[in-house]
Amino acid sequence: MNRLALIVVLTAGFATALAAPAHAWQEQGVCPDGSYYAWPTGSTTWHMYDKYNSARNFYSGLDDADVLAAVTGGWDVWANTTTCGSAWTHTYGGTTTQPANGGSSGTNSVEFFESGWIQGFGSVQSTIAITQNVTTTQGSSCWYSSADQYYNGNTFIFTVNGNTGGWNTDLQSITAHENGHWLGLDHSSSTAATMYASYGGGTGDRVLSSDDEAGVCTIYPGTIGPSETNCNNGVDDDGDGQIDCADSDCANSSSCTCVSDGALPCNATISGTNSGGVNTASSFSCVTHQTTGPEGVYTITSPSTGTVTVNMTGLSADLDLFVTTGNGIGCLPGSCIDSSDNGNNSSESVSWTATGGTTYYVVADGYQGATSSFSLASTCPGGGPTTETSCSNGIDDDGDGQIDCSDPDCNGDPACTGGSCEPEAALACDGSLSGNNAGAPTDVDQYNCFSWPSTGPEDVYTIVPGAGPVTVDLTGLSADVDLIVTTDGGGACDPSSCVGSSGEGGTDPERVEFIAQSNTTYYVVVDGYDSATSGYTLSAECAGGGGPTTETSCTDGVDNDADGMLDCVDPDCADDPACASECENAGECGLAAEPESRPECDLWLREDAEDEWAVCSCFCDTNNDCPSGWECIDIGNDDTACWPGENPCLDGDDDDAADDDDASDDDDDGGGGNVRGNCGACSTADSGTSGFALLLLLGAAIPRRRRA
Amino acid sequence: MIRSLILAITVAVGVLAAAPALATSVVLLDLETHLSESTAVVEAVVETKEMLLDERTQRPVTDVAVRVTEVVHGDAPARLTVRQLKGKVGDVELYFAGAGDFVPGARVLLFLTKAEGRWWLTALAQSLFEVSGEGEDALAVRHLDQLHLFFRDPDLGVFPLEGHEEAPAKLSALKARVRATSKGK
Repeated sequence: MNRLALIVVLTAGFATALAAPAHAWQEQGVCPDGSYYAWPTGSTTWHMYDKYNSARNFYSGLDDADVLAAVTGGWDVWANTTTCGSAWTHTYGGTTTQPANGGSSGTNSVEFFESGWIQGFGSVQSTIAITQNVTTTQGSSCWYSSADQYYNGNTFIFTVNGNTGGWNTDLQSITAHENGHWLGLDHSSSTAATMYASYGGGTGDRVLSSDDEAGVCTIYPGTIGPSETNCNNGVDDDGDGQIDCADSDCANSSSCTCVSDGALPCNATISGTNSGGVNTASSFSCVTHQTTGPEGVYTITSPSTGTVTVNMTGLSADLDLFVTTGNGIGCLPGSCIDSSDNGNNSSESVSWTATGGTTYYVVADGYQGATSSFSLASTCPGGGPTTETSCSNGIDDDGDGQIDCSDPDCNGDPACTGGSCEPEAALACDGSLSGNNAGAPTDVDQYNCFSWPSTGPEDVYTIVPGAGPVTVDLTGLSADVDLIVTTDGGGACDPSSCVGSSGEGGTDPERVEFIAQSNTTYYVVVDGYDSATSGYTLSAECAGGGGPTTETSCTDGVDNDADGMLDCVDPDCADDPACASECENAGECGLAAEPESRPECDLWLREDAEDEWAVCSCFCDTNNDCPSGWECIDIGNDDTACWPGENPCLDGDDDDAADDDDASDDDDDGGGGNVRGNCGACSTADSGTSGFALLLLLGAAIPRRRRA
Repeated sequence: MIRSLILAITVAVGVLAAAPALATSVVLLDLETHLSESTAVVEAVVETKEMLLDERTQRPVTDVAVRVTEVVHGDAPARLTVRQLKGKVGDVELYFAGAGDFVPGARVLLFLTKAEGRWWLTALAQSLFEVSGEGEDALAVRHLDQLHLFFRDPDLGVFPLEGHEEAPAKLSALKARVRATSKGK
């Protein structure tokens, strides 16, 4: 071969390498024995981290069913290849209380962060989703031993209908890409591939390119074949011997889920019936016969790992009993764990090794359409608690299906009410305040987004920002005081639901950034690390603007609009019934000792039930304790109270001679306004000596409350 | 000549065949946001890289010790340790695509955030520039091929970033832009 020919051959080879590589997809890695990094059995069981309540357990922005559909859809695109036939499978293992960031448990969790973002994952303003695979190597072999997936719901708003603006991000497009990494693929150089680094976005990448399929089929080789095309037709569509829901192809089909009718608590007995139920599962993978009757479906969650037994008695017809894993919405007949199918009215019993904290579905199903009432009795390992033993551990301790504060057992528990983590003031948007947590209550020692002990006293402030990013700064520290922001725990902070935290060491300043929802009250907590106390300056910047400009509640003990005037003291509350009723409604003030809405006044008196005006006075030690122009006088029984002296509100003259109705005392400043507004909260009286007589009388009658 | 050509082609094909690591989906930050998210921007030399198990999670992490040669923005000590949530300890390896790869001995420009008492790259590989060359000819480049890139328009939303190519920048110009942005210019 001459030189020219050699160059031509090499150049052609190089061009071929550039234009048409053997494959564009990339594996994540290769084990010492030459095999690809992969899941050992060709499949993964994954879980959704369950951290909220009600119908939005996984991500508060979407219903559970939508999240599951999107995440499952992101898996299904890899499981249902058509050009080569992948053996890759996945199983949704139900919910877990083990967060993805919980350590080395190998749970394979998918977690949506909406608070407590971890800086190690990158800026909260930048990182949308992460997949972390753990590879274990032994000798020349290696395999994926676990993987976790994190979605940044702090900043990004995940949707299921494509991008529609704002911070919206199409969830399934992200899951399809991230799941490709989960199962062992790296970025593809094919621009058409879902695994292309800069993929096309929107909903288009919910389907695989041939390059994606070639990748997954090489790592998980299988055979091409049809799948169960209909999961509720009683036909084995793909001829694999598994019909409908018994076929793993249908594991996540809506027709194969049976929705829970309620919880079966651990170590408890409940009554139920499948009569009136719906037949959504006509077969289970652990039996061969059809179960065409309606189902009664119950969830059970053992707080600890061990054997769980459920007995079904009291039958009047041939019901069978099954236990399956679930998908957070209902049972999965294709993932049947145990069954009991005695004939006629015989009792049934199922037993299985339950993983602590995992929800299982117990299904009473009618054989050949049978219906019956029944009793279900459960036994969980170790006897198990019958009540929620902790209201802040994220575990359904008593296995009744209700976790922590959602369990009625926790009603009134400090962890659910926010304890005494009550606000003392409001923090204004784009404003600042100074404080010192020394001497403050020490009610909360732990926050769910914060790993450090916060055993010091805490100062608590409310903030009601407009929707958008908020930055809270804590500066001027002389000790290690930390900063936490939580959601509303019912008029107080909720330590189990914080939206951000900052735990810098020493006297370093703290900063918390979060995205505020509109019309939402947040609680800013200044808490001492390891009992620390310090003076500080607290400030907030709200990109979405400030919160309320008026007192939104006149009875919550919070200066909502941060104008320095609390509740009824704030003129915003002048017309609020909660403030007006104390002295204007006949009879209410007659013997009232301490109107809560006017804490500066110790004693309120009424001249008589017909008079709309009232005398307000305060206990005192000296004249300095009284409003200007009032005197501190002896009212008997060793008590003293303020009493008007030359107060112009009480001089009986119509000073301004205004053409008004009362001809006396009103509007002494000549402004033509209302006497009450001009005379202040503790000098609102048009009365004279009769009021004083009543003051003396009540001074003897009321309990002693002399100022200390 | 032919040997040189063969070598060049072999190297080129070898580069093509090299597999990138995993990916993480991120929004590409503009300099202003990148800076506002950072506690400090420093030029530094990577001294050591140690992989260990995190005490709390018992997962591998990597601690990278760097010696700061210049603080371009913010405050930073002369020596600091950057933690990354990836690494290999014993038989267990934790991948974190796009977290950024440090090479001991390398000169780097880093955007750093201090949180929970530790230093972190502010935005993973976006925050790690490798520096080469000297003086005015020094270049800074970052490797984003392990990141799944998006861009965010505050008015329109989050969209995939297509066709982004990260070009080397003059180190002096990059630092000047950081300083100017830091001063609000």
